[in-house]
Amino acid sequence: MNRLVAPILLFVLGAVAVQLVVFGNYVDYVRPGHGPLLAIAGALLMAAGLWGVVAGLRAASGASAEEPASAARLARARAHTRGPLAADRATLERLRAEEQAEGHDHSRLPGVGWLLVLPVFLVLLVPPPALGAFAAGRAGAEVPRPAAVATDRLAGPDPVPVELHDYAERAAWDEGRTLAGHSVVLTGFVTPREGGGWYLSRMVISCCAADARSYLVEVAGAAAAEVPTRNSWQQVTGTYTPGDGPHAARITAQQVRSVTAPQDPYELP
Amino acid sequence: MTETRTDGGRPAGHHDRVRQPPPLPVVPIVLFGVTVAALVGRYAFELLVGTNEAVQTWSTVFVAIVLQAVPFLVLGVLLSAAISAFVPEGALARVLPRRPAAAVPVAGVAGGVLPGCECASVPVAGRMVAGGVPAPAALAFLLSAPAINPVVLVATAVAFPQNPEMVAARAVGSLAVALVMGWLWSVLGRPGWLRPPRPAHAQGGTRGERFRTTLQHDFLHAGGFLAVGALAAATLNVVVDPAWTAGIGGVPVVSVLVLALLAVVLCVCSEADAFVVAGLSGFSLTAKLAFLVVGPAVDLKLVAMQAGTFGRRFAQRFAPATFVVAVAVSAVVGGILL
Repeated sequence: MNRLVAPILLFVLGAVAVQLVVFGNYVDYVRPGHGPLLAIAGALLMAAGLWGVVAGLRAASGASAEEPASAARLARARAHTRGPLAADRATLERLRAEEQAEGHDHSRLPGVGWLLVLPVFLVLLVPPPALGAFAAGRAGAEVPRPAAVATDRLAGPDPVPVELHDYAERAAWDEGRTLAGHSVVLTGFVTPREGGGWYLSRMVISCCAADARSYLVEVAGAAAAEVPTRNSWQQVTGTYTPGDGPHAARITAQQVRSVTAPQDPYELP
Repeated sequence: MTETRTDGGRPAGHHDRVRQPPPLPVVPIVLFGVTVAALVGRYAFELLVGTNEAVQTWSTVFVAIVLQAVPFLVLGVLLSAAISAFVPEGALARVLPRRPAAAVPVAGVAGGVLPGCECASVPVAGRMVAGGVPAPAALAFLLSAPAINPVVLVATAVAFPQNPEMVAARAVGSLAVALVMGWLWSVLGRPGWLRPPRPAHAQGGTRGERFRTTLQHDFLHAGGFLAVGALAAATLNVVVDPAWTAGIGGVPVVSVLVLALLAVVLCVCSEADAFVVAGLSGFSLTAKLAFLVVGPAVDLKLVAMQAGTFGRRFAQRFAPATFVVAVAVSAVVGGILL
């Protein structure tokens, strides 16, 4: 990779990271707490990139004879035209080592770095959306077993907003004991159910989208008879009903309402 | 091949051409590339990525792995650049005991102070080897740093509120793997297997210049191989049926192996892996320990980064051996502590 292209790539990658944090889109990929780290790292990369561009431009505009790589090249040229004694041995040895080091020379930057262009292009040109129905539908409707089911009473007057994964865990792993008798509000996206009906679903991430777990709550009741658009965000107000199958969650909807996607598409455990 | 023989028959002007290589018009090329990308790229990418949900999921996971790793990569690269620019050659090696048998545990325990994940430790270990630290000690550091630092151990304690013994088991297990692999490498390792990164000192230049060039080089290098690993992990994430672990949890030996393999495939950062595995239902604590011990030592992105830093011949031998040792150690430590 070229001496000027490399710092430009560093700068662009850093700028993309900073941009994602500034506009808030980074929460589609990593947990919100990661934002400050990402911004700092991006700023450092931008600084390193600028430093590299400045140094590269200065080297290109005349001072290049003092650059070590150019010195080696010069030595080779001297040896070439005037014989081996014209250049000092150490320089020639180093030159040879550099040539055999398969790109491990710092002035010839590693070509594998070009792969970092891919996330930059993806984010800038076709920003990948937050995980949706495809990811949610893959693991099946069984609710992942929680480390510990929350058994505290739901807070606030009915209807109570409950995080979707919290509802699913209480419903599927505690037989809905703390949910019965409440009217709850769940927010999630639509994952169509095989064989009719649909799930209100949400992904939970611990660190980034690569470790996402899916939580699906089957929506039953007359209010949910019509399947909303796949991946659209809906708010369901309803009451607990036992799910069909072991560790499956279900809600009987009194009301289904279309809502805009929340700022943070994922829930945290 | 370097031509050092006298060759009188060269045309005049050859000398000058070598001295002044025609500068590549980099800035125009980059501008042109950016313009083309902006004009065509969106449509080309939309054709490729489009509205296909599987491809979208793939690219989301790929971008997520890269973004999640970038801060730790930057931290590791800053450290590696500082080592190459400001630590005199051989100084790190002099701090360590002379005999590898003693240097390995010292380096392994020293890994506990690097508060990062595995992406940070690869470039640092690379610079340690380049700076003259014996390979076994640097490898012990490489394996222990992402697993036993305080941030990771606290995360483990938070993820396993019912099982605080998991923290001890993880620290003991990961340190044991690091030491065993360090000692194994000092006994069985052959010099030709490991291609050390070239020391930056040979480059000359000022310290600031060395810092900058090493930072740039190590970031692109480790970052590039991180992208390779992220490509593989994202592909497996979309291709492999997530239900493949279902129903295996009850089988003792198989469940340990399955979670160890899952750790290799998932490439979860060591600061988050405890949360991930704590949510897996039906597996024994020993199997979960195997996930926590294997993950920071062997996973797809890590193997790719190791192959890039130390050479493919190294990774071919080191990664499988580490996997076997990590699984064995997890089984033993899990049997005793959990």
